[in-house]
Amino acid sequence: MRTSPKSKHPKLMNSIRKYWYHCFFYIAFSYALTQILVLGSSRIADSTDRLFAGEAIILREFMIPFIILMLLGGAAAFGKSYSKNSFSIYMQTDIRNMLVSKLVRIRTRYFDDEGTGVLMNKLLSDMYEIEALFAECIPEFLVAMITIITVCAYIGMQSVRLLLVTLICYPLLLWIANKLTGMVGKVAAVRRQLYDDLEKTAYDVIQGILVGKTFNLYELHKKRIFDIEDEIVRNESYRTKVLAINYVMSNLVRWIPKLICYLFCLYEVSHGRMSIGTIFAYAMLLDQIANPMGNIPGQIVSIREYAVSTKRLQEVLDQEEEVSGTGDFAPEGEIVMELTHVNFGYSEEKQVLKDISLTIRKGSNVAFIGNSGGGKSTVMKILCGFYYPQEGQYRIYGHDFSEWDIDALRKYISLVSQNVFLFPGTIAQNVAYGKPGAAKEEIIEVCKKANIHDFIVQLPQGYETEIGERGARLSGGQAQRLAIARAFLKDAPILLLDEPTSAVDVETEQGIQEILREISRNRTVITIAHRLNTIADADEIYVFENGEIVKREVQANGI
Amino acid sequence: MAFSDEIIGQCGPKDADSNNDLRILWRMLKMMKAGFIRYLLAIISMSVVLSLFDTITALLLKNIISRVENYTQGDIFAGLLEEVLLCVGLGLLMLLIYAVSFYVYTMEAKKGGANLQKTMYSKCMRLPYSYYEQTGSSELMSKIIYDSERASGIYGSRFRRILMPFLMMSFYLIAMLMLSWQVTICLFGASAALFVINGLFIEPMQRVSREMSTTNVRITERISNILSGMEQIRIFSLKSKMVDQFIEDNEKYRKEQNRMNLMSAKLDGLNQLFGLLGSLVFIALGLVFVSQGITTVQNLAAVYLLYGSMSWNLLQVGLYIPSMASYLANAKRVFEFLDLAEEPERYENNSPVLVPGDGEISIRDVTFSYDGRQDVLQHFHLDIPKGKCVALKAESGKGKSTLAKLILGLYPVNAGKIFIQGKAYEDYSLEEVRQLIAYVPQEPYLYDVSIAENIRYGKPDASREDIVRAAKLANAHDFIMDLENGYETRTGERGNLLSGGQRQRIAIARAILKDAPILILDEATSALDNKSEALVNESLDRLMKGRTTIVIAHRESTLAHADLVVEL
Repeated sequence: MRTSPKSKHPKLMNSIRKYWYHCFFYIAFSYALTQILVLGSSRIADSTDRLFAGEAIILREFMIPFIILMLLGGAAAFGKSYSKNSFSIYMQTDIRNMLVSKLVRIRTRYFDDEGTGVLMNKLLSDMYEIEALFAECIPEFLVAMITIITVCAYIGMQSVRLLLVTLICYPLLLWIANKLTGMVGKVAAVRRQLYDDLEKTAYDVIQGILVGKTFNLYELHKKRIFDIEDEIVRNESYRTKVLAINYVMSNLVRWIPKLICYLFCLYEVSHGRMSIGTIFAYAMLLDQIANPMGNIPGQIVSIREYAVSTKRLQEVLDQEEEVSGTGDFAPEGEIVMELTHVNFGYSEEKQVLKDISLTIRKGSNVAFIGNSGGGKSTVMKILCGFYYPQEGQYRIYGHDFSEWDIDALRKYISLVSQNVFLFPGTIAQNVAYGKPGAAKEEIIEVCKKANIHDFIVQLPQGYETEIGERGARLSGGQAQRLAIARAFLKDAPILLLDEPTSAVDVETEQGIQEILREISRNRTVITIAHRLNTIADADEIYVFENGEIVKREVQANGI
Repeated sequence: MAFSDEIIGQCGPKDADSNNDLRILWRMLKMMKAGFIRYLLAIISMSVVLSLFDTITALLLKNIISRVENYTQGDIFAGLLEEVLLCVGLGLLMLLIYAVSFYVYTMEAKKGGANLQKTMYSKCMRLPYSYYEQTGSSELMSKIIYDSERASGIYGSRFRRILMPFLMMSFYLIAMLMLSWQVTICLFGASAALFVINGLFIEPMQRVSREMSTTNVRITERISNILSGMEQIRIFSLKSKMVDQFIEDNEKYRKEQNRMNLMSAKLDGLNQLFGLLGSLVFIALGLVFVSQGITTVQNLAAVYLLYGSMSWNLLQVGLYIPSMASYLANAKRVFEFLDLAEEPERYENNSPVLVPGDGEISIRDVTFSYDGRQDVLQHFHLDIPKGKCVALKAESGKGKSTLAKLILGLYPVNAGKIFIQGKAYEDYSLEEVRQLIAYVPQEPYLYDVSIAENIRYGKPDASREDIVRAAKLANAHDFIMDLENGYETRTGERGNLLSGGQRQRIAIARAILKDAPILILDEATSALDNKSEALVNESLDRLMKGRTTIVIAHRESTLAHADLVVEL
């Protein structure tokens, strides 16, 4: 397989190469803006000096250039702000698209290892961090640097000695900031942990509300939550003290140089090296750079923090994708699926499947049973192509799995599993996912077959009813029927049933079993069963235990 | 009285004007109780100190310029040392006061936030059961977390960010007026124009921002759906469809962001323009005023230094008003949540006089419906004799779980009456009723605490021996001892660590420990393996002995055990 590594593992930072010009414009506009401000200040300095020299100032002569400066300043500020946000917006959009396109192709393993919750958190909160990185951190850092450099250059041109005095306290500021951020960082970790605990506990309490109410546990649970809240406040107390000290120190370090500079100015004047105008302009410029200079240490820390998020997201982009060949074969032959001597483990130490061999014949109805952890679900996942055998071979319609184009292969497989997932959208849309472009009549037909049509038409909006959080709530049985309708619509020759009735009650189960019997006709069916009555129709039963097939039974009734 | 009641009592009941932003803000602040005074004083002190700090610097600059101006007339450094020392001393003092105020302010804000969260969490444990059935727990949680975090943001920064610049602006203005009122008034005019312009942008920017947040929610939903539905996406080859849908929304989001960007860039441009206009006005007027002898150059310099701070603060006020409005929207949702009706302490007596039968539990002519349209139970009668076991048998949806919920007081009956131990239901508080009943739910929920603690929930003051004894009776002791940490093992989220049968036995131990005269047992539907089932059944037998039991049955074998089978 030769695919270019670039397309397989897109680099987050490639987007920078694509949108660097926004950043360039931003820097250019920022530079222009500072220049305009410097120019303005120097004109003010000039005119002040002339005023003191007793010269008459012609207002018009002074005002026209200044008005031009003003308009240019406005335009530059507009350009600066616009290009800065554009940079961030395009970057974000690109990265999000990249991530989602990648996500649907990553190997299933990864989702099991990470857990959906963690991954979701990664995608959302790290994405927010990255947003802040491009929208604020990087541009502001750049502009702070530019402001400082231009202003310093201006001051340096006026007086190198003044420049040195301006910068003299700066290393001290950096050192203090560094020390304090380290302290705050440790507290922040504790804080994050406490908030996690709080959320976990509260979630626990809400989830168990039925027990909580019936056992009168209100006071106990209140205490559990309140204790954590109080701990949070205690932790904040320490953090706030550190922050308060931090504030005082950084202000002092910013303020003292200012005083020193003023005094130095005075000294320079006494030696005839500086004019009032220069002091005036200098005081204004000093205000301009005081903030960016103070912010730089904090910005460096933020950039370092955000870099962690960049790395975490890049990890997602670097994940291996599903194996896919290029073959698109016809579903022919008597043997539909075949595993030979398959070994598989989620980790090195623990083998989940040991030397599994099985053959599924066309039109047969096969059941997998056994304790949880026995390996039956893992075999199912291998058959779906979610996992790959570490050793041994998996063949479908006579072709090795790796020869198949993964999407071509899945055309022939339908899966109805225990956790039905319905996408937000209308009922019709959800069923139609089984066969893109399906006509309305087809959808209705399969819903009738799945015994859900009557329920759907009595809803106020019928097939156009929205499901999910903002729409109708479906019971477990109803959702399962929709999933079956979807599978009917797909009309694939192989049907995999992964405990489809484990989440519904016994009464509902019977109804669903009947429909499953209906859909199983003329198909090759593999069922993972958890109740014995489920497997009454099976012609072949495999019993799994500790990753091995311990028993294979052929029943006479089906064949 | 519940904690949440106390707080709600403090901040005033819901009133007709509860949509008014100022009232919501006031309600939020009142929730801080006594802390509010400290909080407010700290903000004022911070503002005073900060503005004085800047003023000191400005005055020093003024002093230095006037020294330079008078240079020719004498010693440039005379008396400077004292002045500088005074200035540094005052500055240090100011910073110190600031640090203390900052601490007081932040801690009051944090306490306020914690208090708000406590109130919400207390509330969320006390809602009527129907609320939880209608609202998923993750939905409820995210609502609480998000809204309380945002609403606490009002304490944490939003309120200060408006109040402080406002106060500081006033202080600067006073100092400036004292230095030169003529220049100040003109400058203030320029700033006011700036303020008006910013005000004009608020409305359209808020509109776009609302659109953006809607789209953002959709994007998040899409990602979450892709993750949850990954299996189906793969099997049904929906990859490109899902990605296309996502990209479409993402592009929409980008366009909205761009619109927002254009607006804020325009605003930034105008702000800069007017900022420079301010300087221009300052210079032009200053020159005129100085040449006419109305003010001096040193005053002018000091005013200009203060003007920078003042107009910055003015912009801050303008900047944070819209964001305050959006935070108040969350505070409003918080109050809507806090104003929800709680589960009452006891249900009200609303039925005609009915006479109890002679059972331990006696149900008389009970009618109940969840939605007020379709009756789940209609004129239902049942007497359960003391110490007997009644099995309820019915098709799904016919009300057998409902009956259990009514007896547990999770819902009030619509008509008729339930008597327990000969006393009408309404004569008990819900807490008292539930004290009389031990309930083993269909899917036993184990809390994410130790196993011992989970069992102890049956009787909070139980000793360790009691717990072990209950676990032994429930056939749970042996497997608990096999776990690495024994009784101290945490059960993990949803008790994933333990098998279904083990979880059930812990729930049974909990019920045994509670030792209530009435037992309600909702049988599990999913099959357990034979060994496990035998262990569970044995422990159930022990639990049922001597108690009045209601079993919601799913299996034939259970029906055979019962003294009485009721078909609904």
